[in-house]
Amino acid sequence: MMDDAKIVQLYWDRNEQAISATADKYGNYCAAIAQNILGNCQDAEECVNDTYMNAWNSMPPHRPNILATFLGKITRNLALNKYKHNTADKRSNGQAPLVLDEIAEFVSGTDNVEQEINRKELILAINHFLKKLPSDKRNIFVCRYWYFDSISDIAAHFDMTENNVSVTLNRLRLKLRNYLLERGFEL
Amino acid sequence: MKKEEFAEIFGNINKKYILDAKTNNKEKKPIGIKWSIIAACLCIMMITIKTVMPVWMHSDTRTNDTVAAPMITVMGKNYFAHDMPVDKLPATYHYLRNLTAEEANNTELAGSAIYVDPQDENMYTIYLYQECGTPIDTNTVDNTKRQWAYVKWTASDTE
Repeated sequence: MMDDAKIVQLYWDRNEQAISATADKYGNYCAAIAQNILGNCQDAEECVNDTYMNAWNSMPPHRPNILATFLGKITRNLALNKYKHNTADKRSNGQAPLVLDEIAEFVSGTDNVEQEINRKELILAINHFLKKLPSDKRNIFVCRYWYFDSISDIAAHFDMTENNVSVTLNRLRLKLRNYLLERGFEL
Repeated sequence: MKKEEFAEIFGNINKKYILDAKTNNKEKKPIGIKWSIIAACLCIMMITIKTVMPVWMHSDTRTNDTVAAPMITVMGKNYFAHDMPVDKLPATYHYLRNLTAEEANNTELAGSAIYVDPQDENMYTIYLYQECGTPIDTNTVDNTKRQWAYVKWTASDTE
């Protein structure tokens, strides 16, 4: 299978093989993210196809150094947008409503224009918080809030009980909330 | 801030953490009391099976030689484990999901994490992170010494 640099070059050369090479190598990876969020195969497949289209439109000018996360991020954003669209008329079967409810525990849930938060600074603060965590805890947190993995999948992957995972995530959410509050981020 | 907005912002965290979450091998936990008890129970079970079962079945211990090799069935393919367990997962393999009870075929491996190589599109080989015996030389596994390790499973139609 093709290495990432060659796949990216295909995009830059406007060679349509880029799409099939991407699908071969990262199709399952992207599908898993979309499926986690949406819980619906048809919507997930649509998201993955849109991911390829987005990648096609953004390379060039982009030349990602890590193709997996570049594609994963596109899929994640597309799936979250689709989730928002879907929830207007139906409830999703995926992990998104559960994960978002957990996030709701530490954000106000209101659009306050006065406290316009500098997104870049917030991302830096979150990264700094993640950096300080032990790697196993960081991985659990990222699996849940980036990949939208289910508690049971995380428990199996990290050889923990589901209860243990839930407790760990609870503590980490509280820790993050306090960490951000101390640094002036009123979410 | 709305929860959806925070989720979107969280999407921009350091790429390294995103990759690490899926590719890092599990850290080996020290073998504690819990595992010692499990290991002891397994030893007792093994001894019981070896001594009591042949009596029940009115046959000698050679009966065990005819027991079929454990087989799992993932996505319609039958897999067998022929290789020695390894401590480190090959770098190209990524976590897929957990083995279901149906796929485990009574092997007691249900719930084990499945790892696949995205480059191996036909999934000829997969790895399970499972409880298994400990290699004592290049060809022998001591099944009384239980451990958690990665085991390679190969699809039967590739043999």
